[in-house]
Amino acid sequence: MKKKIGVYVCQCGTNIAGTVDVAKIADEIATENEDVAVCRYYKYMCSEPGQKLIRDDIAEMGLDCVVEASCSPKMHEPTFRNAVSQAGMNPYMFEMVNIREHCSWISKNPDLATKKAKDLVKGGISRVAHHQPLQGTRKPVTPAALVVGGGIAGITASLKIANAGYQVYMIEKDEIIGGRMAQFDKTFPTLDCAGCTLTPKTSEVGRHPNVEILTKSEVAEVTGFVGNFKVKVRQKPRYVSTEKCTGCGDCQPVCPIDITSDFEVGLATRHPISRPFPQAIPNTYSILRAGSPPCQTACPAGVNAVGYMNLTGMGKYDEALAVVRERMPFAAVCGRICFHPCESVCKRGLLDDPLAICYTKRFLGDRELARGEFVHPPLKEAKPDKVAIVGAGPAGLSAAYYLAIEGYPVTVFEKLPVAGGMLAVGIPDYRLPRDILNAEIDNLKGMGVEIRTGVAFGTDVTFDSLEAEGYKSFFIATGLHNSMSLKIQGEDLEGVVGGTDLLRKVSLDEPAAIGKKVVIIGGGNVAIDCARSCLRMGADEVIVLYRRSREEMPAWDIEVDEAEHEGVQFMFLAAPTRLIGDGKLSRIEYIRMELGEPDDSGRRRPQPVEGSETVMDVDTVVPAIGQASDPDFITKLDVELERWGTIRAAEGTLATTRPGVFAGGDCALGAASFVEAVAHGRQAAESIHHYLAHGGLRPLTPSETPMDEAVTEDEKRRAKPIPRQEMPRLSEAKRKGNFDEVDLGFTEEMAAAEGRRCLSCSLCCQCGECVRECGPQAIDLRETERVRELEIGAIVVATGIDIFDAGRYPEYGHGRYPDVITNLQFERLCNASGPTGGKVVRPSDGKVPRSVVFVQCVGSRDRAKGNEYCSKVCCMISAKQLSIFKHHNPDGQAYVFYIDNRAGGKGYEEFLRRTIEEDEARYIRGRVARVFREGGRLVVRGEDSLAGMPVEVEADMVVLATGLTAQKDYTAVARALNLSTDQYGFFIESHPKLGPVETSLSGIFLAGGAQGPKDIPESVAQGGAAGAEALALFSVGEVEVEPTVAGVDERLCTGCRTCVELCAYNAVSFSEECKAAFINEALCQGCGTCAAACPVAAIHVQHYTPEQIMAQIEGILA
Amino acid sequence: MTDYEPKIIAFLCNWCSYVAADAAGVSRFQQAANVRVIRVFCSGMVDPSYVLKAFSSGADAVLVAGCHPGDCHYISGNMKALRRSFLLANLLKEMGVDEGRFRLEWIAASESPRYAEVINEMSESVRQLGPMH
Repeated sequence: MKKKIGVYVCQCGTNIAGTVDVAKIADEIATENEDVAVCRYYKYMCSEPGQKLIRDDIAEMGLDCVVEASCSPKMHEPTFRNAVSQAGMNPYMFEMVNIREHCSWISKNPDLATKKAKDLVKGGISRVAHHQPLQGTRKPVTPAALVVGGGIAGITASLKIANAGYQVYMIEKDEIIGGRMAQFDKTFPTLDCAGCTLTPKTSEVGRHPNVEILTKSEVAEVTGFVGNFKVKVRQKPRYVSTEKCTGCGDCQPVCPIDITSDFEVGLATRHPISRPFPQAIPNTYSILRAGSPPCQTACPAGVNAVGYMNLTGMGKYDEALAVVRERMPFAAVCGRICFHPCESVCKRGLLDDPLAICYTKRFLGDRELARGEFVHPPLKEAKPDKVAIVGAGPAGLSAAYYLAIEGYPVTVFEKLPVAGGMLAVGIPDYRLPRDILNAEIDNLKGMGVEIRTGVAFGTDVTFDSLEAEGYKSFFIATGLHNSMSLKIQGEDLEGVVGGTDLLRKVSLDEPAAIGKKVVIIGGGNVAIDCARSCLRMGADEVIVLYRRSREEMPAWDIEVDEAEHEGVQFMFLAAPTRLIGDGKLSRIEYIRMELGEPDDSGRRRPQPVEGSETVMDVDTVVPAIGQASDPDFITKLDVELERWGTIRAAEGTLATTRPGVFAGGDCALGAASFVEAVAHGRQAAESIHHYLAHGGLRPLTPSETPMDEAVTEDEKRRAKPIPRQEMPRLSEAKRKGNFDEVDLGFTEEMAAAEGRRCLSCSLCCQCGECVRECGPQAIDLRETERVRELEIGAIVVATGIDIFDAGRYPEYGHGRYPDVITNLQFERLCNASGPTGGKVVRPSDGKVPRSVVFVQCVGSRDRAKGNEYCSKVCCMISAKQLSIFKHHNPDGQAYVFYIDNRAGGKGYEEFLRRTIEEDEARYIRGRVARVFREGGRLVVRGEDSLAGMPVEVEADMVVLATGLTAQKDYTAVARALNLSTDQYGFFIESHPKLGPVETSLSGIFLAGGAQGPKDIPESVAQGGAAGAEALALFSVGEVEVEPTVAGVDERLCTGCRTCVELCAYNAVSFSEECKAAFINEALCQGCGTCAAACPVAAIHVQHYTPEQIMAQIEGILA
Repeated sequence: MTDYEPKIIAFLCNWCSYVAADAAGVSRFQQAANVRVIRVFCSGMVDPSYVLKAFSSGADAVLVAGCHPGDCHYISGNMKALRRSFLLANLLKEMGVDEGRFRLEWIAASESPRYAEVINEMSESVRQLGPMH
């Protein structure tokens, strides 16, 4: 059945008719297209008479569908849909064709524009014939608003909504609300005190029962639709409880870190724990922390190096050691043998040399041992459940330490006659003296940890025997004490001794027959330790044979360097092929290697060079190519193993497959470092505590997000000019023939100097000084980032503006001359709670300036800097500021270099006029070329464009009227909320005149500077308007959801499930019952990706069906 | 040849490129009047068969424009359009359609000047290619 179509073409005054021949189109369409029952044109179709034309035709002629050719559907589609439905037509039987934005406004050629418009109308007519009546559904609205941004616009919107009785969540990126206005001193044109007008609003919103303020928070994700948004808010920790903090300020003086204050725009410093100004809301302190610093992130154990370095710098050694102990029980040991990944990433290393973190920790440990007082946190109340630890290596002992603190009775079972594991039998004395190790182990015993050496688990004691003795949980940390086999002929000859075996024999003073010429096979730390040990045991010649080159050696550089200094020889790109001897080793055959393609580990794979075999005389060969577990022990444990012979331990909890049994360190990790083993021990202690206290497993506390690793200007400023301290070392001559320690240790002065070198790049260093000072115990440094999920009906985006970076005009000298400041800095100088207590003085010398030059349009109306727009407020800000300056200093003289004075606004022009007439400001029309210093004064050189001549003004202070820009992180906000931005980063409103606070997204509204530069009254007006929009939604209580969602034709669906994978909203699933794809309409957003991808065209999006689009294409091209 | 006015079908996504096209009109950026816009929700909605249909119905070129990667209103529909475009471009080549006649572009709502540029540049290059049929 043919449909009766009505076509209406709008002239839009001359907007369309000026270029497009509307009458011609109407004529031709009416005659050429037989489906068209009526075709009319009218001056303004959107006007009431225009709409009436359509309504009347529908009623009188019984039209089935309507095509309207006029402006963009983004503008008037709702208007016309409403008009047709008033006449009883389903609104989806309507199609809108855009012949204004896409035709008349883009072409000056009437013929081509008319032809294009006619094609588009034809497309619309073809399409509308395939339209189907559709019915939207109505969904309830969640009566709660999210206001993003706590500036004056956001505050106004929040109060409007909250006062009407609805819930508001205000989220603010900073630690306080108030936004830019909180930084201002006075406001134009009345010279009202900004604080006095703002703070009543901030405190009202702060105490409002319907408003919940989430500071240090950002929108992470928004899903859903108008009235039914689901918002994820990422809330960074304040570290100070807003409930407990009394605002007394006792924490402030003890904080050792000074950072540049953003609130004071760089004119003052602040402590990371601070409250920007006394009336701030929330009126409690909070701590700024940039994230986990590189050193802490790099440390496998997560030791807070920034914290203990700063405390060491202050001479608070006991406190510093306590910070070490939070994550590392063995300071003196760790300070000697750690491979200190912290130092390789230390930010100070980007400026000069990294901090000597490891040596400083050693100083702290040595100092404690020398004083004989063991620093550890108080032991918690004794718990009854006994814990057995198998293996007294670093992992086992670290678990023992943390479990002992939790109050558990701990017994460590060790097979060897000594405790310490590889620390005792794998690391030679010259690197780790035994008395140091034993002293730190004795400290553990002092805490009540029982260490039973010479007891082999599996033979002397077993799971069963220990369970019978009352042990409730086990930690297996037996390490890897066997040497890996070379798998070549002759390994069983006398004179071949495994690397770990050699080191163990040396450590336990067992006889280890070492010949005069020793060959070590391998390139790791064990190989180097063996080589250096052999030299000390009297070998004449020690050669390390390594199959790759020096660059690929896994041993630490410093160890290799020291070995070379001591006389160890290296033979690279060589591998043994045969060990030769008659019962006793006498020769070794090796082959040359060359490096081929990189393998999985990224290192180039060594390949033998055919025919290059060489034979060399040798007395002893030490294979040190890797460590292995003891197969006899590990297979009898009755826990699952990994393929490569280590124990399977769950990541995060370290639980083995046997309940109550945990495993860590080398026996679970594979050969790793001391510090990784200690980290495992601590994790195991945490898991065992969860297991015993709560009867279950819980993943460990999440670690903090790493901070940005680039060096900031502020960090450069904080870098004290102290060089890295050199470790005093034993002379090489004194090293031969003994196992004396080579590194002699830092003095107190050296350690403290290193501590003072720390940049505290994480801002708060978590040294804990404030925690110790806080009376009400409001500070919790372990607080972590939280994600809140909120159900929201409407969103107001009021994220505000940023200030143009004056450094982009290097010729004005901001940052080079201290007395060239921005207008925001001038606000802080005037402000009674600012850095000068409200005195307008020069930052350089604190003197009162007599001549002040204001430079307008810094970052505004300047195409060269990318900001073509007028920032709108700077003319008035400068007028206000010069007026304040004159009030402070009646003898002073103000100059203003301006382009045009823009003073549109109530009372603005009059105010500006007064500054000229009463304050005698000299306005010079022209741009400033340069600001420079001459004879101790600043000189501003510019042009007087009215006089047509260059001009120079001497100045004591120069104030740059910096423009307003979009927030730096606008893209993150835009992406989270799916908002569009203009080329400057300001959010786009739905219509520049008629939709100033709406966005293209229903239910999301804009307010304040985020939408474009504006002054306070405008921001407040927009805040109120956005609030009213949200209230309108809540008051109606229901929204209509468009029916444009996807549907499946089950007869066609082949069940390939392509669509299921593609859907970004998980709206498509496969129904086993129907053997076809199923679409959850509540989740479907109508994007049509599934429809486009369906190989059999079984899915279509309602109102965008293939028939409709194909018909439109045909119509356009017909 | 001087009278030849190519016809280009442009599928513009509702959230970025269509907004840019509207804004280009509002800003009166002059454009060749060769492009016929079809509004779709998402560039990911453009079934390759629509592009083939346009060519078979007499279009001289087809433009699909959507949000920049990462900015898609529907999370990643634009990336699915991109994924599909390679095969489609190959198919068109096999069918003897010149390479410059099918384009996929990312045009953000804020990029109205770029929208006009793309339209003018594409209209001109298709004019150089001459009629399809």
